[in-house]
Amino acid sequence: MRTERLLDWIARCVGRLVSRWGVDAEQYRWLLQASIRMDFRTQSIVVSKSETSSTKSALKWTLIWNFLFSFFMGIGILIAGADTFFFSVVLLGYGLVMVGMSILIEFGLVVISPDDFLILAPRPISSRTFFAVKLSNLCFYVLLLSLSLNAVPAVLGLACANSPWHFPVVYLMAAIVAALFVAGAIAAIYGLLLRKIDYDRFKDLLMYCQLAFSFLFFFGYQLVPRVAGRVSGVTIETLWKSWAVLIPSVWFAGLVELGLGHMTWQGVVLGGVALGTVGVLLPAVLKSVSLDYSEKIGRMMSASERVATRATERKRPIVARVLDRLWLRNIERAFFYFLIAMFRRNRVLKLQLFSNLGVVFAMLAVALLQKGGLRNPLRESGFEFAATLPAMATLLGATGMATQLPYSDEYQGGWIFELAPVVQRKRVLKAVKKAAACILFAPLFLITSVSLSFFWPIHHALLQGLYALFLGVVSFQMLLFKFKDFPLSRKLEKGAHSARLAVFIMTMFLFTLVFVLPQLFARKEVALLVTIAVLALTSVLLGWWNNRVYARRKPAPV
Amino acid sequence: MKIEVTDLTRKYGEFLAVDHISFQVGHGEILGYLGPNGAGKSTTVKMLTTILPPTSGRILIDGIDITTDPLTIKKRIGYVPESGGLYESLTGFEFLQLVGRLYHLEEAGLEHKIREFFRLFGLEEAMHQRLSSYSKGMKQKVLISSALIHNPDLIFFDEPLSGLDANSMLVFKEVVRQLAEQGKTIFYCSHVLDVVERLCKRVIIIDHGKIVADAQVEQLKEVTAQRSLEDVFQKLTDSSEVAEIARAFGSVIAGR
Repeated sequence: MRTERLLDWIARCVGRLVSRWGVDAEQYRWLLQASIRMDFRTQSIVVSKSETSSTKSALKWTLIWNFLFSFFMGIGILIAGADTFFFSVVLLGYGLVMVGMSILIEFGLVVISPDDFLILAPRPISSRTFFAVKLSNLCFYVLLLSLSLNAVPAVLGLACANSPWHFPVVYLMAAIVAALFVAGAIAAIYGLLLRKIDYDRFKDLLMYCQLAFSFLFFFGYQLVPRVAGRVSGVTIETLWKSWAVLIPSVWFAGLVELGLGHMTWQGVVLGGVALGTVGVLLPAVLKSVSLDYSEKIGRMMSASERVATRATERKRPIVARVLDRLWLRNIERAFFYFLIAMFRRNRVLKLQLFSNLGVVFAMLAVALLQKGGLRNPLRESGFEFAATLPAMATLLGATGMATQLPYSDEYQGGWIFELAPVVQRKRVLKAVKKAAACILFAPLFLITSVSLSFFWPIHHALLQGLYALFLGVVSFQMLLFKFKDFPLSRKLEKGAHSARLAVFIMTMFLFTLVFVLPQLFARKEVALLVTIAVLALTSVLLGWWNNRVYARRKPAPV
Repeated sequence: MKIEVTDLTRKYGEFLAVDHISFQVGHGEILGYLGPNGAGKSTTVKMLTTILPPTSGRILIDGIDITTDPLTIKKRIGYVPESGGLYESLTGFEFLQLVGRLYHLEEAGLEHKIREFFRLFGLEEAMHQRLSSYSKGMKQKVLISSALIHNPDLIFFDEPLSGLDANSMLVFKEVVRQLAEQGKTIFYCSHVLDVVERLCKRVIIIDHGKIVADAQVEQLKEVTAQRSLEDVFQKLTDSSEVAEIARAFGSVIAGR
């Protein structure tokens, strides 16, 4: 109750403030409270005091990870000997990227939500009010995330050589302004995009951004050691002369310097750019965007209501018909083809699937960039990147597929599975595995083996492909112990991505295998064959076990 | 409130969903708006309620062009959509409270009104339960309440009886009649032809985006020499092979 009263007070105060720009303060107050309340409620039909929504639990985990990662990041930069300016550049930059990524991955639909529009469109709510609520809802999450990302660095920054006692306060304030900059910038970009594209294209674009961020996340570690080596001696004067002045975190670090009393003309310019962007430029763009926001959403939503085009009937390929006869039983067939169709036709799922295949090429590119990165582990001793490459790709693919399995934006059709007479639930899981084998593991195996065969003897490439395949299958079988729903039958709520990231991090110990196992089979083909056999056997046993577990489990209420 | 629609058109890509239609609805009138699936009924309603912008044409409500001053119009209209339209993680009470507050209704009066709506619809016990736990009919009752809570002068019903039980239907039909008697204009979209026949004096039948009939129900029966509105509808929308289609369905279901 106390939280609700506080939220009401904040919404009322901000409502009064934004009413100067044509926002209806009362409507703002009630809509903002309702939207935050809904975010923190489960989709479950049961109302209980102890309920925990997926948003709430995902947010909790995200905040914990943020505290931890920012701690390690801060310690790393301190050890490298950074001053307050560079410390702020790196940590604020890290915070900005993480906040931006969270908005794009988790909270993008806070700004543009078709459900909201359909409910609120016939009500007398002005475009400005609607937009202000959406932006404030977004800022609520952004401030939480920003605090979790910057609270630890604010304290750690005291250990910088030239840091005064009031560093934490100044740093936190700059961090909050920087977070508002990201939220405002993304909302403005969304608003401007609304004028150009329809809802389906918008969702595609979001997905591409998520992919770009995922690659940045996984391959960022290649950049960090290179940057860390150059930290010592970097000051505001040296950065001023480089392209780095274009990076927003440098502007906000300039603001921190001003707040700390470290007066330089570069600091004044950078701080001025930061304040000018947040205080003048963004509000002007947002003001313009908010004017026709509702109208543009309406146009975008209606443009997505496309008329079905003429369907063409295709004959099923022979391979599919053979598979159908020999490999699949009745219930399995239904779920198998359902998954294949969804991953072939649903844009979001398709993009997530293809990104896994792209990982192989991205990792190959990284290996090629590294000196000796593609040395054959079965020919030469010494641990090289190439030994981890195929296994990393299948592990990432397996985790991506397993964590994606319960969710789809077409979840509403999931009721059909509840109704269908699925007596042997383990057949559902078997179908899922067979579909994953066809659409993920087989292509990954082929791509990896063929790619490596350009550099190594074919049988070595095949062995590495097999090793990667079975390591991926083992991880997939392990992750399926967590799977209890029917495939693609649940709504992707806010925070689900973070929950999936948490699952991914929990399976990190499997990634240590990627580095340990190649040590065992370096220059020993027999050892690799044994490893493959052990992994294959493990996957069969795990498969038998998780089938039984799944058969006994009841799906969570939809 | 009076509705004047002139040359209204809506295109989805190349597909013409509503094709240059014009009509008027008078103050206190109940107009039945009929048509087969995909005829353009819901698209028309969405344009009239300002949810969807028309591709061309003009809509005046009480002489005000809805594209120039949508907020003034929205304050005076109520809308029961065909589907969706609820925040399912709110309780029924919270949802109606939110809607009432969006119309700036006074708090004490609003709460009383909500309680009365729930009582009259027999939903008192479910008032503080999540909308996600409601049945289809219960949700429909909440949607109807949300359309009427601010006492609108013009009400759009798009398949309002969907999911309602027999008693609720009877109550609802009577409510619609009384609303019209109070001078409210009702725009009633439905496939339930006998209800439309009983409620509406005048109907518009739309097919493939075009108006194929606009007249009093009795006039239509007379001109087409049919006994009921259902027969008139069949005749005007080319759906005369009903029995044949039903027989074919029977065969398909039985696997013959």
